[in-house]
Amino acid sequence: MTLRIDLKSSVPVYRQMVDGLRVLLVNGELKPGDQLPPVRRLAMDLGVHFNTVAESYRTLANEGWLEIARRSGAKVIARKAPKRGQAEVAETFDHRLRGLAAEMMARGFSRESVVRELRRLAETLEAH
Amino acid sequence: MFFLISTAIVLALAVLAHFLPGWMRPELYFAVRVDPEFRETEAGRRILLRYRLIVWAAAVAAIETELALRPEWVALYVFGFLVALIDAHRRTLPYAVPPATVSEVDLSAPAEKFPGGPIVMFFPIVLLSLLALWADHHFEQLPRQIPVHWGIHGADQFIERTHAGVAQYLGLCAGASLLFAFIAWGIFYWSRRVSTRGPASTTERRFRRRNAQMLLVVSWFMAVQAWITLARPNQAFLGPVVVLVAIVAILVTLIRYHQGPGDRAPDSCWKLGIIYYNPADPSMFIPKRFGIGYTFNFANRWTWIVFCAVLVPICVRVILK
Repeated sequence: MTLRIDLKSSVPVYRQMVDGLRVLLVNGELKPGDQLPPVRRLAMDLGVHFNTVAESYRTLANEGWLEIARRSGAKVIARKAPKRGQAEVAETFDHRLRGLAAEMMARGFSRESVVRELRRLAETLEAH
Repeated sequence: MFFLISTAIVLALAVLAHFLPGWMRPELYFAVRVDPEFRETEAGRRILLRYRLIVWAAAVAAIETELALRPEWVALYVFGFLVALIDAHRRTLPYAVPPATVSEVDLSAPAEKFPGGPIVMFFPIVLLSLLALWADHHFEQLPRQIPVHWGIHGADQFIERTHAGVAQYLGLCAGASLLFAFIAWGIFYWSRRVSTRGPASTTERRFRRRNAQMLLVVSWFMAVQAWITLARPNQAFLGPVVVLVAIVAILVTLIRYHQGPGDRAPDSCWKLGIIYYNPADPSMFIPKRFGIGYTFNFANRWTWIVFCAVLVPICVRVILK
């Protein structure tokens, strides 16, 4: 269960952290009751500022994934299933996915490898 | 006798400096991140040879200075060693490889527990408090002159038996004891884990734990030495002997345990290969790139607070003297 960030990426570290943790939460690798590392610990291990980690925990707490307590840190909680996604939201995500695929190809990945990655992702999602 | 001991110290230091580059992590060469095979190349060997020549030249110069009965021999050796290291570091820099930009953390890794917890950390203070009470009740039994510093010739600095003197001595021991305990705690909770997975992570954990344990032993030793000095002054000389044995034991143990994997900081953050200054790193402690153990991140404001807390009282004392 690894959180991975690229300090040289054009995507802000905060965004990478939120996205990475959300993937683990959606995939069920992080389960309700699991404790996340303290803000200080994670910040030092990743080599990023404390506020970056705290902010990403707060974002996930606002989404209903985490509960943040002053003493015990961040804990994964059971999240109520949100209302069915709206059409315009789906459109936004579709746009982002297309953008990501285009970025991969722009960085030299072949069309086939992008399709393979997307298929692998779809299979992972279906398995959960 | 003095000459034999000081020559043995210089030779031991030179032998240590001679082999030190070989004990460092393979991806680091004179505090520069290089290809692990670099040390076997012609350029790598040339740098090592030059470093060793300077180290041994400094050792010979230090021994000659001793023969002339001049006290600068230690400073001369240290200066020579630093010149050798900085020179080797500078010559290795052109062969540096860029650092990895990807950081990974295993979120399932169990939290590490500080060895012994707060009881072990603060026990020396309890011991020193008890000693203060004992000293107050047995004030007349205390030696008239209390040795507080030992050199090659034996005890060379004393404090007079006064309430203020004893209190000052115990305060000094408590301060030193707390400092070592704080550094042990900092290595545990205020340093970055470079590896969080696999065998590299195990090595790093083991090395960190052993470092913290060693520092706690030194912290305890401060309190025990104070007891011996005040309650058993005739055996106080045992303290420095124990310190010497402990230093050797610590070095051997840490070399045996191996330092964990290298840090991900850019080479530019390691000034002269010795001083770590990285404002982007929130850690206060980081494993040394050259040498055994940990060092401070001088870009962390807490490092300066600790340095001031230690150095200001010493400077004030020296000035008042």
